[in-house]
Amino acid sequence: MAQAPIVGLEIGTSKVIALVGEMRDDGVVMITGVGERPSTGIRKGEINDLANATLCVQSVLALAEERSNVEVREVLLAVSGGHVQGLINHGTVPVIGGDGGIQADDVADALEVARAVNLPPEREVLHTISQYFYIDDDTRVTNPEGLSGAQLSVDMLAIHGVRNRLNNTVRAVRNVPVEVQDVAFSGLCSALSVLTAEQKRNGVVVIDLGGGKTDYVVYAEGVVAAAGVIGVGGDHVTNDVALAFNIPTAQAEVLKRESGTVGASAGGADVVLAPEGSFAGRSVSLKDLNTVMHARVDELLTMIRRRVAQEDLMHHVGAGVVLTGGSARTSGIVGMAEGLFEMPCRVGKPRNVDGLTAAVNGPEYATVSGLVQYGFKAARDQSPPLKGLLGRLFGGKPPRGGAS
Amino acid sequence: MMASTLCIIGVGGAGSRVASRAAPLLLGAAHVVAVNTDARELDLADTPVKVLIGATRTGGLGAGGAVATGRLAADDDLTTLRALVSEQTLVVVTAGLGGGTGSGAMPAILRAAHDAGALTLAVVTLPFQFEGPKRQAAAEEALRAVRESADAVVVMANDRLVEEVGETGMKAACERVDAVLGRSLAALCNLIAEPGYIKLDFADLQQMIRQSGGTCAMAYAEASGEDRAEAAAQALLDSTLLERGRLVAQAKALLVGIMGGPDLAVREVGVIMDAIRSKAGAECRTSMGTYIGDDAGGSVQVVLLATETRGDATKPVDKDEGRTTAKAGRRGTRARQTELQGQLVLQPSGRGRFRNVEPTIFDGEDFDIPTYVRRGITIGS
Repeated sequence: MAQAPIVGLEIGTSKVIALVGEMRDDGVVMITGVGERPSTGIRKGEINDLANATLCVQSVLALAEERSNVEVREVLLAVSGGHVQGLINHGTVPVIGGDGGIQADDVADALEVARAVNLPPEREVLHTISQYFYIDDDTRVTNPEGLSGAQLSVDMLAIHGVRNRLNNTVRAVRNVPVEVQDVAFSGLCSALSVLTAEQKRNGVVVIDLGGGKTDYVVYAEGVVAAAGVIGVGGDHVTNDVALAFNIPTAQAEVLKRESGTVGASAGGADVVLAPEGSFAGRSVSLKDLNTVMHARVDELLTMIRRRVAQEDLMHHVGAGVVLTGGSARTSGIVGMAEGLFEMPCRVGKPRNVDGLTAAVNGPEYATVSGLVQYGFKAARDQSPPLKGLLGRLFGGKPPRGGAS
Repeated sequence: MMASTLCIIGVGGAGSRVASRAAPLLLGAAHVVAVNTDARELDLADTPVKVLIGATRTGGLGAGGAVATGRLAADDDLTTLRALVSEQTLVVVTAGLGGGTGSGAMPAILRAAHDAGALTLAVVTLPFQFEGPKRQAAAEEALRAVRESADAVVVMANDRLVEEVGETGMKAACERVDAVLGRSLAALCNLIAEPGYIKLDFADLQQMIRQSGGTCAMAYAEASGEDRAEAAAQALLDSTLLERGRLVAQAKALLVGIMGGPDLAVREVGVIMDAIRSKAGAECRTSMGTYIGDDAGGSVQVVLLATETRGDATKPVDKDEGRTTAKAGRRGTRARQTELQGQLVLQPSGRGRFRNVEPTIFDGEDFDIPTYVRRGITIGS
C-alpha cells in the first residue's frame, strides 16, 4: 500500500509554506500541493503574535489541502531561531566485552551516555548526531565494533534550543488545530534538500539565509560536525535600508529586491521611488544602497566563517559553500561568499523531489522540501515513533548513515 | 546663517538640580531651564528660567511618583514646552528616572524638541538600588520611552556615581553626585555646542554612542600653571577612574575635548593628544575638538569619553589611588587638577522594526542596529 502523504510546514519570518508530498511507487517524492502566504506575527524566525501566526498557518494549510486534495491532520514542523545552538558532548564508557573486543552493546552504551547532554533546564535537545568514536582516548575510528580497547568514547553534536520558544512555534500549529508529528531544525532540513552525498563526504558549509535568521550546518567527512543559528536575516537588510534612506519598510523591501546588490556596485544612476500613500517619494543612490547592503551581508557571512573556523573545520570543507533560503537570491552574494570563504560557492535549490513547478523550485523552498524528504526517510526506516530519529537521519554513524 | 543654540532642560527634582549645577559652568550662551510639577522644588532650582507644569492638575504639589501624572502635566503645558525648544539647534534634557515628573514629562519634551527640528540628547540617571524594584521598573519603562524620542541617550546609575564620588554621608553624597553630573554635562555641552577651531560636533557624539552600543567611561580634568597640559593629560591617564589608562587602551573610540583661554598653545594641544594617543590602541578611532574661551582663568580643561565593550564592567574607584596624580604637579608649580567621572551607559537608538523584539547581541554589539551605523560608514556623502 502506498504510504500516507506527508505535510511539511515552515513558519518563516517572511513566508509560511506548507508542502504536501507523496511517495510514488518508484521511490521518488512527489509534491502534490503547496500552500504559502506572507507571514504575520513572526519576527526573527520566532512567534511574537500567536493569534496572527495561528491564523496565517490555518490559511496556508487550508490552501495546501485544497491544492493537494489531502486532509491535513498532522504536520512535520521546521523550527529555528537565534536561540538554537550546536554543542559537542563527549560520552565515555568502559569496555566490558572482555577478549571479544568492543561489542554492539558497548557502542550503544557510549552513544547513550553522549546523548545525555547536560543542558540548562530551559533548553531542550532537538537532535543528537554522533561524530567519531575514540578508543582509549587516542585512536579515532568511525566504527569501533570488534576492535580492542579498555575505554570507548564518542562525540555527539547536540542541537538544542529554548523549550518555550520552540513550543511557541508548535503552539501556533496546535491552535489551528493540527497535530505536530515531529519537529526538525530547519538548517538540517535545508541541507538534506540541497546537498548531494558527495558534497557531504567532501565537507560543505550550508548557509540558509532566511528572512529573520540564518542557519548554518557544516558537514565534514559525511557527518554534521557543527550547526547553529544567527538571528540576522533578510529583514535586517531591509531594516538597514529603511533606516539609511528614511523610507518605509515596504519601499525598502522593493528597493532591496529590485535594485540592491552586494557585489561590485554598478554605481551611477539613482533609483527614484514613487510617492505612495503618506510616503512622499525620494531618490536613492545605488552606490549608497550597495554600501548599506554590503556592510550587513559581509558582517553576517564573516560571522559564520569565524564560527566555522573556531570549530577548526575550515580545512574539512572541500566542497565549498552552498547558499540557500530566500536571501540567497540577493544579487552578488555568491561572489561575496567566495571571496570571504576563499572557496567555491553556489546557490542550492531543492533536489530529489518531483512535482515542484518552476514557481516553487527556488532556494526559499529548501527547508520545507527537505522536511518532507526527511519525513519519508523516517517512515521508510521503519521506526514507529518519529521522535528521536533525527540523529540517525542526519548523518549518524558514517558507515550506516551515509545514505542521508 | 542661523546661529547654533543650546538649551538645557532639567526635568523633575533631580534633573533641575543637575541643570542648576551645570548652568554656571557653561561657556557660551545657553538657555537653562528647570521644569517641574512641584512648585517648592522648582523654587530651589538655580536656573534662569523655571517652568511649572501641570499646575491645574497637581496644584503645584508634584506628581507624587505617578508617571501618568508627569506625562499628563507635560501634555497640559505642551504649548509652553514647545515654545521653550523652538528654534534651538541642540536640546539637552536631563532627568532622574523612576519618579513621576522626570519619567513622565521627559519623553514629551524630547518629542517636542525633535518636532521643532532640534537634535536631542538625553542624560538620565537610574534610581538607587535601595529605592526598590518598583521604582527601578518604572525607570526602565521610562528609559524605553526616552530612547524612542531622543537622538542620543546617556544613562548613569546613581549607585555607580555614589561609589565613584566616595562620600558616605547621604546629603554630601547626593550633592557630590549632582556636582559630578553637572560638571560632566556642562563639559559635554561646551564641547559640542561651542564653535572651536577644531570642531567636535553632535554627529561625533552620536557616532560614538552608536558605535559603542554599551557603556562609556567619561573623565574630566583641569589644570593650571606651568606644565598644565602635561599635568592635565597625566591626571586623565593616571586616573583610576579610567583604570590608569586601561580603559583608554581598550576603547574602540575616544572623544577628546580640550578647552582653554586665548593663551592655549598649539604645543599644549599636541602634548595632550600625544599622551592620550600613546595609550590608545592602534585601531582606536579618536575624535577631538578644541574650544577657546575668552577667559579660562589660566586653566586648561580636558574631557575624555572612552567606549567600553558591553559587559566589561569597571571596578569601583579607589579614592586614595585617585589622588596619586599629585605627582603631576612636581617642580613646585601651582599646577592643580580636579577630576570627575560618571560611568555612562550609552544607549543607541535606531533599531527600527526590531524595536520590540529581543535584541541579537554578539560580542557586545547589537546586531539589530544597522551594520553601516556600527561600522561608522557615512551614507549620502
